Amino acid sequence: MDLIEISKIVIGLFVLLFILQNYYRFRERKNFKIIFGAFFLLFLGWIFDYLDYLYYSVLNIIQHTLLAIGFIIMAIWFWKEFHQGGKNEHNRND
Amino acid sequence: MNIIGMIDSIALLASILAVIFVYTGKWRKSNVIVRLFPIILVFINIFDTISNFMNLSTIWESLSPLSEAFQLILPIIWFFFLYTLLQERTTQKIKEEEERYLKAYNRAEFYKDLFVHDINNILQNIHSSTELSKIYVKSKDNQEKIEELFIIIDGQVKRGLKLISNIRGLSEIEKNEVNVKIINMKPILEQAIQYIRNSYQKRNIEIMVNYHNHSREFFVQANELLLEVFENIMINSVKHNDKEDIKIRIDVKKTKNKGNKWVKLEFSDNGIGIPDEKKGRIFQKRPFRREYSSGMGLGLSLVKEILQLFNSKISVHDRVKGDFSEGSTFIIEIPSFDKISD
Repeated sequence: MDLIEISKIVIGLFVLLFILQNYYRFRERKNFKIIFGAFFLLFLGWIFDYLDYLYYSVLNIIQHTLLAIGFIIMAIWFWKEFHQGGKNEHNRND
Repeated sequence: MNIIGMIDSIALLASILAVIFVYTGKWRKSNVIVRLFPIILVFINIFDTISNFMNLSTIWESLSPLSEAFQLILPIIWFFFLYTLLQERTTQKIKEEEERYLKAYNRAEFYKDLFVHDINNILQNIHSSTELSKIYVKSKDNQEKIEELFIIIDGQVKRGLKLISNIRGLSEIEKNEVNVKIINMKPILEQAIQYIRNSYQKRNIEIMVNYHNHSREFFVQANELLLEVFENIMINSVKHNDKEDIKIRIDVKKTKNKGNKWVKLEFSDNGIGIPDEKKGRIFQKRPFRREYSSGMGLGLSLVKEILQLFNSKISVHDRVKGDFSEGSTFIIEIPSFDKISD
């Protein structure tokens, strides 16, 4: 299980690096900060998932809470993206 | 139910909501990966939630390796999802650039057409007049004819200047460099009338202005380009008029419509008029205008573009209902205000 958790963190780290590397392009997309926030919380959750052996009772709750908040934020992003429109922020320059 | 199970249920509910948001919204416009992403997350969350509720069951024991595999592919799915978002934006940006270039190309073509047609006409008229002057100058009896030719040349130069001013006006609108404010319309109208009188001194023009509502000032939401509007409408009345005495009547009044205040201007002339079939397209830029645009080329299309900028309206009617040959009436409605803006 540890190997899976570490692999998840490592792949997640690569995804995070990918986001940071392309941040200026992602930024042009409206509401990107919301989905980035969701991913970041999930990533933190994965880290806590690995660390929870240190103090399981508390860290495990934190991990699951972070994941749940991450999913809620993600749902908000989907609402904004599919119901309020506005794929990007270019309109202000047009 | 344990606390972890409850938290996981919230996560599951949020991911189900995400799916609902996608498929009740504008999902057809989005990429398939973006659409599938929340569905995959729902499946992963279902496994997670089950793991907390059914930790001891034998069914879960058999499904556990599958859940672990799902956990591992979670960041990979996120990567594909984010990569798709990036690609979507790139594709959209390319499309926007294409549209922008096409617009710029069409604009350049329009200006080119305009210059080729109108400047060519202007230069042709100036050239003919100078050629005739060369002939007339040989005899002292032709002094009057030479003066007339100079007036023609002067008129053509003014026409060229007006063309440039119109193009500049359009260009400013297209670049969104125009600021709209609250201004008094009256001096602008008077300035435009003066311009028409000065430009067509050889023609007998009678311009009558009636200010209704006993108002001294008419504050409207506009800017200096309003001068172009008034000038172009009156130039149109003069150019397309075969009468010896050109009559232009301008009625200015304040009106109310659905709670909004307007300043309504009616420009009536005794010109050749506009047949019904042409009324709808006189404000178009192209391609219809060219066939009978002997004036400033883009005068009335500029008028419409400027008025749109002011959230104003323009329409054209027969001065005498049912008989277009008696002249036209251009009706302009501009949003009205009580006081000047700071």
